Amino acid sequence: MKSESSDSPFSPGGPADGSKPDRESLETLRDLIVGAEREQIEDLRTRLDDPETFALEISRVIPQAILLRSTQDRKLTQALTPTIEEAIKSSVNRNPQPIVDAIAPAMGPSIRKAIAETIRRMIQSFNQALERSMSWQGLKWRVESWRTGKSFAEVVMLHNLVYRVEQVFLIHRESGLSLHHVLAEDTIAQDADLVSAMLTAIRDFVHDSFKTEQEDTLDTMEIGDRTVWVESGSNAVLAAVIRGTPPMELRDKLRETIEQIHLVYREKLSSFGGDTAPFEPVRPLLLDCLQTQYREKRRRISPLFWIIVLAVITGLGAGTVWMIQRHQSAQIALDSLLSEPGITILNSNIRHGTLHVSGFRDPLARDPSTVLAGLDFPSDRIAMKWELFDSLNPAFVMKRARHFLNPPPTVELTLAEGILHFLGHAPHRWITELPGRAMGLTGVHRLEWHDLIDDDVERLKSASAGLKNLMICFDTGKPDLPLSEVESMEKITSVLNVIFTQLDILDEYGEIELTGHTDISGTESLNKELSLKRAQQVESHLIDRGIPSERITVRGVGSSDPVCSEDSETCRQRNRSVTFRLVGLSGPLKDGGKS
Amino acid sequence: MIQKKICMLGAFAVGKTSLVERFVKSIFSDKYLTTVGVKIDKKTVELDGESVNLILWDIQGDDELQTFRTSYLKGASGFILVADQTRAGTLDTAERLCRTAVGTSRQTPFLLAVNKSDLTIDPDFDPVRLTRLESDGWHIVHTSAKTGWGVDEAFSWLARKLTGK
Repeated sequence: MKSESSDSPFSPGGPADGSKPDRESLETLRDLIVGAEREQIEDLRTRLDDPETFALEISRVIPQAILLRSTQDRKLTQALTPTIEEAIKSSVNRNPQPIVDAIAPAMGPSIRKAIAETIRRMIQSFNQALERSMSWQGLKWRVESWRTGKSFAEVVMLHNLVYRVEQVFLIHRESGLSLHHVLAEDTIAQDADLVSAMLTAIRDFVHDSFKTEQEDTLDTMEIGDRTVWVESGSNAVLAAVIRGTPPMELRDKLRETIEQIHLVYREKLSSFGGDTAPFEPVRPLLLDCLQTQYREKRRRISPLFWIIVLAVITGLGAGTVWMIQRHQSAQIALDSLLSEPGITILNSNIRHGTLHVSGFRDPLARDPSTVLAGLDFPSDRIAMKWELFDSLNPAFVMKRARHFLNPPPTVELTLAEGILHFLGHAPHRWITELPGRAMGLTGVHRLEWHDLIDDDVERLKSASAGLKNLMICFDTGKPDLPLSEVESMEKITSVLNVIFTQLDILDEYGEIELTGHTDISGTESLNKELSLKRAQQVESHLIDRGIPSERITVRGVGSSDPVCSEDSETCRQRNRSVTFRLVGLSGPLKDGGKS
Repeated sequence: MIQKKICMLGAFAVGKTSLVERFVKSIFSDKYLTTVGVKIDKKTVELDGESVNLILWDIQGDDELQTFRTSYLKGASGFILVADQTRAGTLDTAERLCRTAVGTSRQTPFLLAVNKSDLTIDPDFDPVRLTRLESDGWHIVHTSAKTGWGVDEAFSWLARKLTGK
């Protein structure tokens, strides 16, 4: 406040009624007294009276003064508080934006964090509830697919898609003009300029309609399965069109992006006059917001999967066991064929449990099918190809010998170093055929059958020996066959029949010689005649009994060749007889009958 | 690309919507006019080989039936006031809207489209008043949405004014 007070001691003006000379003298006096300080006083007066200068002066000391006072007491704070409160209130009433802008950096992150945490927890519990109610998820999706006409794969994709940012608009806040626009691949978008403007109009409309606070704006819109999230800065807004359920992190991302854009483009945004070219470089920032997240694939594996795995493993195990068993059984079959006499295997292999063999087989060996039948090895699992051969195995040589020689049970065969020995006895016919039968018998170099007894020779010798002991006795002096000897005649006939049969078998010739005898009583000539008659009598009887007459020779020796010396009646009786003898034998039988 | 927000203002049924309908790219239905109170269209104007996108905010008329939302005027680079020469009263509305939207400083370019020029003029529609407005700095274009007459001229004039070309 400028002082115009006239009573100031420094006032240039004196009393209104003062005379000029007085004033001048006073001035002179004043100059004399305070002349040196006058300029300083004048300067001080200016500094105190001129508000600008005074303010300048105070501004020099204010920081120090405040600092000084603050250290002394809290009166300065108390004095300033109402004023500052009033100032803030006034500022907010007039335009809250500067205050909002000022505190937003400090408040924003903590508020965002708190809200994000709350929402995250809420979504988590919601998701869990949803997951639990999704036990028939697959079925539901199928029903949904059928109901909506969408393909099942699309429904699954949509359900697996957590979210996808399809479009991002950077919009000038005041004019609603589109500063930049990006969209994800395969996304069909409407004119970004018009959408930006309309979005702004709708936000304005909502804002006006609900008469909300200045900073309350429409920042979330739900359209079907799409959401529009709007993040506002002071000069521009970022709008993201999202399909699915976006996470709060995305909100943070949008917030960070719009903040970053404001940081870099503050000047360009506030002076925006319609030219969008300077905002081309924001493209990477906007593209960075085009995020996509698919639902994590569930790690939980369906019980059905385990059942299938178990079934497959069981199946494979069973199959393997089955294959091993098949292989083993085929191997056992092969082993038994390998150890089977008379079978020589040249090639063998087992494929898929089927046995393939080829080799030589002795005709006398057991039929392979019979061998395998004993093992319960199915015939359809073997493929055989055999060439016939003669085995030199001693057992087989023996077998072959038995097979071809067909020895009677009374003959024992032994094989030693290629020599086949025969022991025991056998019919003459078999013995005679033996060399022929044994000819070409593989594995037999020589036959040794000298120890073999000829049954038919033996029988002949036996009959012949028996014949010698037989006789027909006659009454004294008579040539007629007494009735008592008829039985003996029968016996003799049967012995002769045996002898002739054996001779036929042995292919030999022989005759029966009947010798008539008499005792020593009487004359020798009569005795000779009588003995001949007796022999002829017997011959006649034998012929009657079927003995061929040409095989019979008769003679009478009288008493010249007695059967025994006549020292008793019994002996004389034996000399009145006819005796029998086999004569005229050919070849081998002469000397004992061995072949 | 230069983009400019233009607000179309005028009384009810002066033909704002019709004025732009045939000359703009539109993706929104007219129903927005009655619901949100604004319909947004785009008109691209070629100026000396350069395209200027005029984003046209067709704002619902101001009368007793509708609430005029001034928030829609924010950030507008220019205004098109529309009057209907068959209804004299629409000029009053245009003047009032001009005061509201453009203000007295007249820093934002604007023009007055006197529409329905193909129809008979309202006897009460005073041409002298137009002359007075013109002398007051108003740019006035006579248009006919029906014939298309004057429409391109109006948009081109405003676009040039906005871009300083």
